[in-house]
Amino acid sequence: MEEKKHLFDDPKNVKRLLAVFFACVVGLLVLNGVYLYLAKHHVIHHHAYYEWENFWGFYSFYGFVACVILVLVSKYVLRPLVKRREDYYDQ
Amino acid sequence: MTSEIVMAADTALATDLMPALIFMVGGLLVPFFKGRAKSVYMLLIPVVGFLNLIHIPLGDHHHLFFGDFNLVLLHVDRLSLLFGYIFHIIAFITVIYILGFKNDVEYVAGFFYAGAALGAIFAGDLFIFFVFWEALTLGSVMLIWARKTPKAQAAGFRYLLVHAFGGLVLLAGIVFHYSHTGSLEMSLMTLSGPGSWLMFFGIGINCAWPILHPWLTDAYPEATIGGAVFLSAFTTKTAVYALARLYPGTDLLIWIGVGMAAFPIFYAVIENDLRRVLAYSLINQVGFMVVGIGIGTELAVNGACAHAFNDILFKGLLFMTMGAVMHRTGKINATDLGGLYKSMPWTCLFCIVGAASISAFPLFSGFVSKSMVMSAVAHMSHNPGQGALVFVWLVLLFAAAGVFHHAGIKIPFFAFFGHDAGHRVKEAPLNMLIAMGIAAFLCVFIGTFPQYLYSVLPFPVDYEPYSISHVLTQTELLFFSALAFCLLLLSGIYPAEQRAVNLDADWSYRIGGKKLYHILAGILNPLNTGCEKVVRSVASASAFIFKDAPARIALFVSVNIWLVFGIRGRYLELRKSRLYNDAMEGTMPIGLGAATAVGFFILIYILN
Amino acid sequence: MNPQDDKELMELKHDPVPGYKPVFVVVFTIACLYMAFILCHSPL
Repeated sequence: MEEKKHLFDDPKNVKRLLAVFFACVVGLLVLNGVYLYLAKHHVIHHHAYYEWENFWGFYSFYGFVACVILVLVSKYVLRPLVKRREDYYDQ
Repeated sequence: MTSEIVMAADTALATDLMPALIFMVGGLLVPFFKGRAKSVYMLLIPVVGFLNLIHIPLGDHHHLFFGDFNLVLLHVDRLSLLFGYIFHIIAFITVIYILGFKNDVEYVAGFFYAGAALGAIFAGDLFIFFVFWEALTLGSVMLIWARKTPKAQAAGFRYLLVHAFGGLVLLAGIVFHYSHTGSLEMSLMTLSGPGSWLMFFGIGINCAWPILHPWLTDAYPEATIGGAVFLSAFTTKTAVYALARLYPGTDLLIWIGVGMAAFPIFYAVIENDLRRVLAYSLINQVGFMVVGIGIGTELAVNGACAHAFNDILFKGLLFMTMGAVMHRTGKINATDLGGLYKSMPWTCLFCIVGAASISAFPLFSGFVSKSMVMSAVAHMSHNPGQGALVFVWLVLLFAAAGVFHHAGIKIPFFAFFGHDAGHRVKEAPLNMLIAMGIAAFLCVFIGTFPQYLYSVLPFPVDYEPYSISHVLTQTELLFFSALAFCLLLLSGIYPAEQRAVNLDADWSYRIGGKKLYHILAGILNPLNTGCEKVVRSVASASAFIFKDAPARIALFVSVNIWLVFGIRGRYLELRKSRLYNDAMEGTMPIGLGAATAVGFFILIYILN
Repeated sequence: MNPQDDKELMELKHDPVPGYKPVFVVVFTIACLYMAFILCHSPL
């Protein structure tokens, strides 16, 4: 039986999705620049609690670095420390 | 005349039932219904409960006089009402979700559990609170045992032990508190004296504080499919309610909450069982609430309560989608799943809504509540002497990015996309889809129109989540978290999903207990045998001495006598050895024994 | 149900797609340096 082709069975669609996503990411950084520019010239009100929020792309880079560190620490520090065989508790 | 009737009707409405009893008693009657009537009846319980709830006026009701005590069974204010609403809503949704399971144990336990949670949040004093707190444990452990697998039974037993201990700590705290203050009022506490500390920790166990948390990640993934949805809603949120009522503004809670928000996300990244991933992210979300309560300002407590409200919905939704996957495929490990968007598209959609909500995407419910806590922390950190809160804010931001990473992406990606595990199953049953649909709708509705949620929060709300800056920065944070996931996955660095046990604090009582037993056995058993040896050798030595000494005395006396009688040489030796043997074996001729004894007495007499 | 349905993987590896690792390394390095720069230049 020939199975129905699904959305992501076609690698082209995956590539398209990735391309859209990367475009969004870059777009957000551009938007952030525009936003800070407008805020600097008092076109829109910008309220920041902390100094670093006034830097371009603070949240973007923080999110990225945070997640990479999260994964690297989980993989290289936590997993070697805590991983045991599946039947560890059954022995 | 008419006004009298109206007044009578008012009093009739005012004599409200306890919300807890509607669920508990109503639930016990479920097994007596059959077929369609059963479904209708079960759906009616939360509906009737809700209609009852919205007619209860604020204040104390149902006093129970018990000796010197005036117990208040029902106390309604804005805080308890908020939790009352959401508990009714999630009970209704979950009941729809479990209609297909035909498992009376699960039904009765579920209603009992929900009733206990309602009883605890509407309790007017600490004693009633404690009674329902214990009932909460009973109901929840039944939901775990209802799975009927050996693993579930063992996990349920551990769960029961931890909560029985937690209940005792709470009870001890209440007793201390009462003996100190003479009051059982559920009012603001300060951490001073053993009573308030013990209560604080008793609540903390149910709140899954770090190190006290493993009962949650151990037991929830072993519960029944519907049971996990129930469990995700009530126990921790009741504890959050209790903290918000008794300990708002306690600085220690800020740091506890930060720990809760931060550490589980690391475990969530390497965990394979997707319901366990959700259990870890549950702790992470409760962490945000605990921080909010620790800050204690109106904005912060509002944020904590709003987040509890939203978390019950989106975490329930996520547990429901994973339950549906489990129901259809029989699998829950990331290693066994993938590609399910093809066969379960609606479940997939609802899962994405839940994921977007927990990750706090704009227009989804997490966005309008998590940010309240973040803003409250930021506000507070500018107060003099509160500079350390900057660090708290950074960690919370880290956790906010991390939660998207593990709950927002990992759950939908490994279940519905990613590597196709080849499951070709049917879409989830209609009742499950309806339940997930309602929860998903509410997540989007609250996220889009937060004013309705804000209007029922404990304090007046002066907060606007949808500022350009907030929407933009939050979207940036989330998209770049997604970018990190994407690049890590594509470059092959993302950790492989592995079937394994990840040790957590429950090691301390699952293995540590056994190890301790072995260590103690290793020290105490040799000590025991050593002592026995010493005692035995002392006893036998003294027995020997007591036999040997008279023989020697007899020998000494006799030899002198024999020497006097001129017995010498071999003959003397022979006599000596015969006498010694006779004395040691007790076979001495009576005359000789008597003579020795007499001689002995004479000797003593002379020496005296 | 064929027996293959019950075959459970012990490990699900994520195979790298060629070309992404350098991209990741570059982006991560830049992001780290920039974060360090921001945090150093903002008084608490």
